[in-house]
Formats: sequence, C-alpha cells, structure tokens
Amino acid sequence: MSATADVAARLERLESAAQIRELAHRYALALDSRDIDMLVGLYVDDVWVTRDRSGRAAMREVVSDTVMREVGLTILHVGNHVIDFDGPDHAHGVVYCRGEVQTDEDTFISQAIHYGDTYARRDGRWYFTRRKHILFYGVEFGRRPVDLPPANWPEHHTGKGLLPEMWPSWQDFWGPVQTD
Amino acid sequence: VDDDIEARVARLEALEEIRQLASRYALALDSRDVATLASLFVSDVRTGDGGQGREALARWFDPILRPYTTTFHLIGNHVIDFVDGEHATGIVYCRPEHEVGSEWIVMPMQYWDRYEREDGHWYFRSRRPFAFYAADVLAQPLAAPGRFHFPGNPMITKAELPERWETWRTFWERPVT
Repeated sequence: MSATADVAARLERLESAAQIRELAHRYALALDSRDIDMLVGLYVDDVWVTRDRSGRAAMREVVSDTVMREVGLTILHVGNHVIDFDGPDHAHGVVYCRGEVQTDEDTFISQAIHYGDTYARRDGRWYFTRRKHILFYGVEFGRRPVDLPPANWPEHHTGKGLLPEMWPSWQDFWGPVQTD
Repeated sequence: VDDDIEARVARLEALEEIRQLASRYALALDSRDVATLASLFVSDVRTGDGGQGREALARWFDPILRPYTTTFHLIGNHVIDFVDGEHATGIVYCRPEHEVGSEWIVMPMQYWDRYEREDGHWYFRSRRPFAFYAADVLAQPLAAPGRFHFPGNPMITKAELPERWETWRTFWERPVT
C-alpha cells in the first residue's frame, strides 16, 4: 500500500514537471498566435497584473493593450527549462528563450530572454503565478549586441538587459571591479 | 506495487533528471555559478588536467569561464540512451553566444554526454563539446578557415562536426549508385 502510494506520488511529480514544461511552450505559442484566451488561462485566476490590479480580466486588458499590440511578427523559440519544486503544489523555474520580434513596420530584432517563473497547482492543474521577463539583450538584425544602451525593458525592446550582471554568482565570480 | 510499473516510473524519473542536468549546466555556466556547475557531475569526476573530484573540477572550470563576458547557452534537442539502470549517454544541441571583446561569437555545437546514477540521482560523468562552427554574429559562418573563429577559447579550438560522425564520413565516401 505504501509502496503504491510512493509510486503514485513519483508519477504525480513527473506529471507536474511535464505540465510545467508545457506552460512555457504554450505561453510562447499564445503570444506568437495572439491567442489571448490561451495566454490568460495559463495564469492562476488571482494573478497579480500590476501593483493594484489582479485577475485574468485585468491581465487580458493589459496584455492585449500592450504586449500583444505593440509588436508585429514574433517568434519565441523556447529552449532550456530548469524546474525546482518547493512543495507538492509550488515550484519555480528558469526558461531561456530566443525571441525574434518585429518592433516596427520594418524593424526586426532578436532578444535573448530569461524568464524567472513561479508556478502553483490549483485543482490538480499547474499555472504561472508570476513570470518575470529579464533580458540579456535585444538588438536589431545586422548589429552586434555589444556596447548597447540600457534597454530598461519594457521601455525599450532593444538594448542591454539586466543579465548577466544581476546574478549574485556572476558578481562573486568576477569579484570587485578592479580600479588600478 | 507491480515491479514493472515501478521500473517504468524510475525510467521516466531518470529521463527527467537527465534533461534537467542539461538546463542546469547552461544556467550555472551563464551565471558563473561554478559550485553548482561542479555539483552536476559525479563525485569522482575526472578533470581535463588529471585532477579528480568536484572541487578540482570547479578549479579547472574557473579559467575556462573567463575569456568571455556575457554568455547565453540556449539548448534544444536532447537524445538520451540508457546503457543500464545506472548509466546513460546523450547528445544535446546548443547554440551558445559569447561576448568576446567587441565581437559576438555564435558557436552551434553538441555536447556528447555520459550520465551516471549515484546515491539515487543522475549526474554527468563527462561532457565533451564539439562545434559545428564558430563565427561572429555578423560574419558568414563558413568564411573563417576551418569554419572556426573564436579568439582565446581555451577549450574548443576547432570545428569538428559533422566530419567527426563516422556515418557522415561513410556516407560521403560511398560512390554514387
């Protein structure tokens, strides 16, 4: 009996990991195809959208008015996905994505993106509770992503992002900036 | 419990852990988290310079990770083959980008991996990187001699794929029928 319960729990963990991976893939598909229903359905129903607004209705408004409308063709190619469980119903993860984005009539850029995610399981299904988009860089095609001004995303789609410098391990590795 | 069911769950767990290894490696590399990077390998891992163990590996990695500033290791395809319940091999595709001075080097490559189970968890036994090419993001990838332009890379110095594949060589040596 307890052996059965153990195997069932292990299977459930595997199903959780598979569902969480799907969240990242569906997010990309929903954004690229402008499927707003799919997108908001990936989040918990009480998701925080802005400092003082929460819920899927608020998210629908904000996403369709900004994120989805201010760009044209988008191709979000998702790669790496690290998943860490914080309990049976909570997890966090990191997703890498290489985005290609039309930001203007004739401007096409590429972005190296890191999503910092938290996930929660509600009624047997996994959802995003938060998804933080952090840039390495965004750059126009035909240009090198070096010596870029700060992107200060979401203010600008192109520019230098916060990574890798914001990683504490990055700062530890390189040590204090040499001043000599 | 049905032993067969338990074995099938264990196999899926192994696949999941091994897939996670590849993502964790890229994240640790890009964030220069050398301790985490070394923790992904078996405890008696052998280093490229004859050392052994995770601390030796962390020391070995340190200079390897300094010739570039920003790096972005985007991985994709992952093939996993089990040798037995404790050993597996795998191949991971990766499209890393490296900031090297004023250049931005892209180097499509594969990792040829060996995995091993230790104390109930899976680790890298070894990882061997093989590049298809290396080129600045604005350059034509095949323009550089040997399709390889990556100044100062201490570990990878040439493009070895696809020629390294025996199937590739055999295919092209065969006369047209």
